[in-house]
Amino acid sequence: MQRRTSLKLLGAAGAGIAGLALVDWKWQILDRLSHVGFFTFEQEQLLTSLADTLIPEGMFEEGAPAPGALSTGTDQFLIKFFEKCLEKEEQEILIHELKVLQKRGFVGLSKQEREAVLEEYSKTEVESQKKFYQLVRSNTIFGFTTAKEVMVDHLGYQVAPGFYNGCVEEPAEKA
Amino acid sequence: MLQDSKAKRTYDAIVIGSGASGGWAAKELTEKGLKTLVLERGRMVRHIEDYPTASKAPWEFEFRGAVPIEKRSGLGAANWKREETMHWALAEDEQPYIEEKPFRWFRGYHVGGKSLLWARGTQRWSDFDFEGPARDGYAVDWPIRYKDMEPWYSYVETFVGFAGSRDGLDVLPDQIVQRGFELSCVEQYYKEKLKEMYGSERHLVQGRCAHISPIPSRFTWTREDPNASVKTCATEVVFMEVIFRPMPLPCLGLKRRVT
Repeated sequence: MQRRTSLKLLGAAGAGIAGLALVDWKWQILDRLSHVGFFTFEQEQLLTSLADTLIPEGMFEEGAPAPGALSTGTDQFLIKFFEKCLEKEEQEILIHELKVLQKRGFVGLSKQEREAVLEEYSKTEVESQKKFYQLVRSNTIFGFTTAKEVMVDHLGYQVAPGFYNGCVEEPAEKA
Repeated sequence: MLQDSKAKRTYDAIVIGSGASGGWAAKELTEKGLKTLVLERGRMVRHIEDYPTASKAPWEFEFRGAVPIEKRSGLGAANWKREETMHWALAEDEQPYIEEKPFRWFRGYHVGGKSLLWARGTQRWSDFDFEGPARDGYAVDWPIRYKDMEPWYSYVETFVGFAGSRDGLDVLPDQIVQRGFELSCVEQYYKEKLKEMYGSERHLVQGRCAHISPIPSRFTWTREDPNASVKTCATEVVFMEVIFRPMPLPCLGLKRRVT
């Protein structure tokens, strides 16, 4: 009898686990509940989404799986950077605007809609929106352009080039 | 005990501080045969070994060079916002000083002192500077003029190796220099325009600096084997260019080739 009950329990547990694996969003609930960090889970998602909108994959070549903000870990850099390197006032502006974006459901919008929202922010006159946009945009670019893959493979970085050409001829069509 | 004799502890000269002045003083004194003791209050810094960030690429810093807030406090005037150089900053509670009027005091606290903190800008003073206090009526007149300093400027420059241009300006005297760094296209244009519009009144001069300047792009030095690297000979080549120009000298068997 004990063997049967234990078998039943095992069977139920197995079914439960299999059920969890099938239902993807359950993992997100677990992630949300177990999330620790300066930003909330939704805020981190927002930062990831913002970074992806600003610098999508295939930055240097159309369609190529070339680097973008996500593949270079720029979103993770932003999360760390904003937590540790911003003054208190700037952090408050950031979090305030992130909450506003959260209400607008930024993460769920399509790519064009997200870009439209950011265009709006780039032209705004509202101080806190201007500041937020400037913070996020400049630091996403900063994080992206200092990533190893980008610097070495695309920006021609060398530790000690051994030359300095002050004035070079470059074709003008690459504007 | 037998080692610690009074003779051993007696020096001809004692230099306090191992910075730009102290380091040079020690060099001169020892070269002239004086037994010299150098006292430095700060920590040892061995050349290259103790430069923790010199060869780091930007992605090797946790915040790519930005300094986290928690590390920025307690540094007073030396509130540098760069991870690459933070380790030279002196905490403000280390030998604090009273500031009755604004006084931004950058101090070194390590072997090398401020010579590890400077930006390597090196210009000679001219009589315009030496006559400054007398002409403009502040402080005390310098007891010396440019002609007194001139041979000593040359003496130091020959040893150190600066890079810069020779512009023939009396307010910014020419130095013994290696070829200067090229101006960028914008800087060149700006220089030409300044000359056009202001002639002899305003000059654009590339910063003269204590750096080894690169071989100009139109020359390449190669060994007989064209695949060999040129970098190892760079300093010797440039030095010879300045002193012995235009005679090309052999450098470990390299041939000069214009590309």
